[in-house]
Amino acid sequence: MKNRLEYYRNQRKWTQQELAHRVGVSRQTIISLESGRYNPSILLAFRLAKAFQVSIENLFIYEESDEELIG
Amino acid sequence: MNSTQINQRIKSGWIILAAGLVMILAGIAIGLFTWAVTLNYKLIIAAGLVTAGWAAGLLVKYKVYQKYPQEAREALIHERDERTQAIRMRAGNDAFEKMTGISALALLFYSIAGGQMVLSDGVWFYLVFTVVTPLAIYLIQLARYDRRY
Repeated sequence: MKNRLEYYRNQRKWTQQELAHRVGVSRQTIISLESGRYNPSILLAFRLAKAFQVSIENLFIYEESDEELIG
Repeated sequence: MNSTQINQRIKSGWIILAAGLVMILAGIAIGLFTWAVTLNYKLIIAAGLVTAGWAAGLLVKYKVYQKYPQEAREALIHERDERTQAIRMRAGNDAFEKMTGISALALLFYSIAGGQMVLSDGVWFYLVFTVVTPLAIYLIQLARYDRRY
């Protein structure tokens, strides 16, 4: 699953650590999310969308080749 | 985790540690003074050691949290982090699958190599236990989670 996490984070001038604090996960999770190696749970996706004040569809782009990723 | 919760955990840690120490002392006392009783006192001492060790681990962890609240918050975030949990779950699944397979193979080879089985063969029973127990727990948990979700 692709996402625009890095784009929105840079737009708000937040560090990965800052975003991690805002949504209550580790910085490593943000790194993995941004690199597309990890798919978030629906709860985390909502928290991220809420933090950026955008819709989930805006933040995450569904693709059909995501079966092997954790999450 | 707030300071009240940390204090509660520390209190629980002391109680568990005390219970472990009591078990160790009881085991030693049984070993020293009750020759006539066929209790396995080493098992009681071992259980006490495990309990006390677990409690000591808890105490160290929460004492550190008490002293460094910011680090405690970080550690808690890491502990509850969904990616960390997903990785642990996957690692656990892999460990279960591989261990069950290895145990089943060991049981198979031991049974073949053993030829005539005697009912007092402790190794064989141990291998059966290591194959059957995880599978039984697995099936119980499957049914349990199937009902829950």
